[in-house]
Amino acid sequence: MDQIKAITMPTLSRLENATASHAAGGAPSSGFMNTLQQAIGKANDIQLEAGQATEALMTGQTQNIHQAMVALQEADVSFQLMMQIRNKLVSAYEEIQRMQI
Amino acid sequence: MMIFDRTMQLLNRTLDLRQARQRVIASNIANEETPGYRATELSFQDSLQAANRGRDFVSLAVTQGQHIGPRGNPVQQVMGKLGSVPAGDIPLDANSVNIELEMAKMSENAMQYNAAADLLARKFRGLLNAIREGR
Amino acid sequence: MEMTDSMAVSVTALDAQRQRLNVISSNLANAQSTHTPEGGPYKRRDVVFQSTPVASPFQRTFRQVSTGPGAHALDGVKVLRVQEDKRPGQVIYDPRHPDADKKGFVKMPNINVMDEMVNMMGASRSYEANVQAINATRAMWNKALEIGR
Repeated sequence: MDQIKAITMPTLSRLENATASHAAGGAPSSGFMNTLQQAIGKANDIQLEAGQATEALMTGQTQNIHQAMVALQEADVSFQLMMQIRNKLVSAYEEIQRMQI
Repeated sequence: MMIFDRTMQLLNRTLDLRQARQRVIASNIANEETPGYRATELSFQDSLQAANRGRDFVSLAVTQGQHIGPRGNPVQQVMGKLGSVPAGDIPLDANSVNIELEMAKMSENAMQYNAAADLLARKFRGLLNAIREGR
Repeated sequence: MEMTDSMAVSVTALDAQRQRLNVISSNLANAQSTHTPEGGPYKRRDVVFQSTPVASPFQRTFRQVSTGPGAHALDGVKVLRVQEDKRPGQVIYDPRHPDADKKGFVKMPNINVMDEMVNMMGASRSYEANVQAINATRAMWNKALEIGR
């Protein structure tokens, strides 16, 4: 979903710059980055699936309402999970920033 | 800035169409005893499906805020088609309303309307969640 | 016309039972009719039901259902025909009856009111059961809407 990317991309690029310039060992920070990127990608995919299930229900291609509901719920939960990961990362970054002189 | 995706537009249109369908069904039920009345129905699912499939969203950028973008979504133009309900046997008073069928259609229509409204509400909640950044 | 498959099936049953009730009412009303335009007493009528695949736009679902294990198409019901009961009715002796023949016998319709009442209850019960089925479909749908609320 474009709106998710629009909200999170600036933060991601900020993080990327910060970790690139301050990282002592590359492995831990890129681990965080990977987790977040995977989470975003997954959340996006699930959102798309939920959209398709909803459209199929509305246009009468399926009578499967529970599939659409479950898909929407999954999308909601994975999005919130991704948001929490992002928020934690951002606050960790800000805390590290404060630790500088 | 377009934040209401195609699913939300489809849901929006579905609500309009379902409401119109409800009016048609209600008038069928009201005219259950009218002599010579032919039952009608509003069908839109095929055209809705076609409109939803036949477009990939090309959102053209506008350079000035006041510029009006293209009409965009063909889903918004889907009107239903009024047809007459295929009747089995026409009774003596030439009234073709099948009351059980109309009641069942009304029930079904209400169910679908509720589903569309609920799904739209969830979409909005999801958007608000994203805007508030999960806090 | 779109409709959830199960509701479409139930609607065919409602239709069929209503027609059955019409026939039963006709039988009951004519339990004493010794005269018909075709001559002879009224002949009891009965409906013949036939299971019929429900016409539905969801053919894709059908194909999935009809190829998997334990597969079956969705069948509704329809009234195949209304058929006359050929059994002879009671012949009673009543010389004063306007339709009595030379020997004083009157051919009565072959209708047993008790049987018709029982059939009527059967049709009514069946109708109610199908209405319950429709309500159950709706309840399940609305329950699904509560997922994650």
